[in-house]
Amino acid sequence: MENEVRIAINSDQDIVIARQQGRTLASKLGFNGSDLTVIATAISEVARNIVEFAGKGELALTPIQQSHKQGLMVVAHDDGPGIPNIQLALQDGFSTTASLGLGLPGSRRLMDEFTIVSAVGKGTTVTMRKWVRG
Amino acid sequence: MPSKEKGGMDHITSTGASPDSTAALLRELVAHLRQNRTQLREEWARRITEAQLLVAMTKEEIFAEATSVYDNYVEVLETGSVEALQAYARNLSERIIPRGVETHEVLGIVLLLRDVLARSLFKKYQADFALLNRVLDAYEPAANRIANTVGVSFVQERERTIRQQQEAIRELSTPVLQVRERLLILPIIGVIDSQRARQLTEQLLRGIRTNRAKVVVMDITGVPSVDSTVANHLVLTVAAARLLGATVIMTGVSAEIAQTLVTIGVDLGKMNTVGDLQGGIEEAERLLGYKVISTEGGAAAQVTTQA
Repeated sequence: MENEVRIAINSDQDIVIARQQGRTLASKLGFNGSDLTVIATAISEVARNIVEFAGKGELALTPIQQSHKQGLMVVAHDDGPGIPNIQLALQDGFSTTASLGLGLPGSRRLMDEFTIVSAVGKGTTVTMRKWVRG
Repeated sequence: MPSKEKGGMDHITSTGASPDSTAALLRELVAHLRQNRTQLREEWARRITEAQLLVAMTKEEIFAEATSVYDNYVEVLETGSVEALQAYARNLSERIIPRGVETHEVLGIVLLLRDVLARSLFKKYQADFALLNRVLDAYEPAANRIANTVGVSFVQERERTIRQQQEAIRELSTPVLQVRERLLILPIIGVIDSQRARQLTEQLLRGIRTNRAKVVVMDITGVPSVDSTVANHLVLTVAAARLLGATVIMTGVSAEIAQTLVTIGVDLGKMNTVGDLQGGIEEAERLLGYKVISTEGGAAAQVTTQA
């Protein structure tokens, strides 16, 4: 079993590192080419949200297993300003900046499971899972 | 209270050294290190070679640098100011980093010097353990500070070098090339982050201006992943190019990236995309009214006749 990987997210460079590490770990877990891109992209989106809105935070990549399924869990955590309205944040095209507003809803579509917990003034935790397709 | 070891008692009662006595001890220390400069310096250089540190440097170089570090070291002990040492350490790092000297070697030599000097102090004060303790009380914090200064300076210099190289790679990695009159290609290789995306846009717009380009083929075959932010950057770059009167044809979107972008919901409908770079250039030539025909004397024709 591969080990958990933790990456401090403070800058654009860290997003790149997170994406690369995610891709490497996912590849070891047996994900195929297009899923690797999917995972790397979802990691990129949540890591970028950390840099953009919280300034700093942490990303944890953990191999997971359920009966015979192998998978990868991505947890992005920050102690940033939090999201006042999660429903709104998960809507396509909603953005408080000049971005496309697709980061969170896009990641949700890319991954198999997606949960987000956020409290204003306390921070945000996004947990995503993807299973290797058997 | 009378005591047989009057001196010893004195020393013990004054551990927790007053600033004055620390200064006096440091002065004594400095005098000792100056007096034994030649021998200690040689001893240090010998230990460096023995430990196989600074293998990239010659013996003479090691001795020369050892001398400078030694003198700077003594100066820090004397003045309490690390500024000169810091400047020297930075300068030294600048010279030795390109030669492949590693962080562990730099830390290694500083710790060796610390050890060499400490041993010489043990020897000098071996008869008086209490005094030795006080000398070490004065010496240790200064020595730690020196080790820190040299180590940190080296690492900072290394980081600066890495940053510089990163910038250089960035510069190199986004060439805007003219293929024909009014036709540019922009091959993008590697990861696009916000900074690079900005730079890319700038370079492209400048290229369009100077070459009076009408069509640009932007090839992203070498881009491993595109997320919504990068896609947004690309869309904005295309829009800016259009304002300058140039059409952008995007090529090299891999199947994985296409799928991912569609899933995220990025709308590249407004982008002019063609499968691969060759197709993109052909399309661009068509837009510009070029017609490429192969001649009989061409390389391809020769190959067929030979076969």
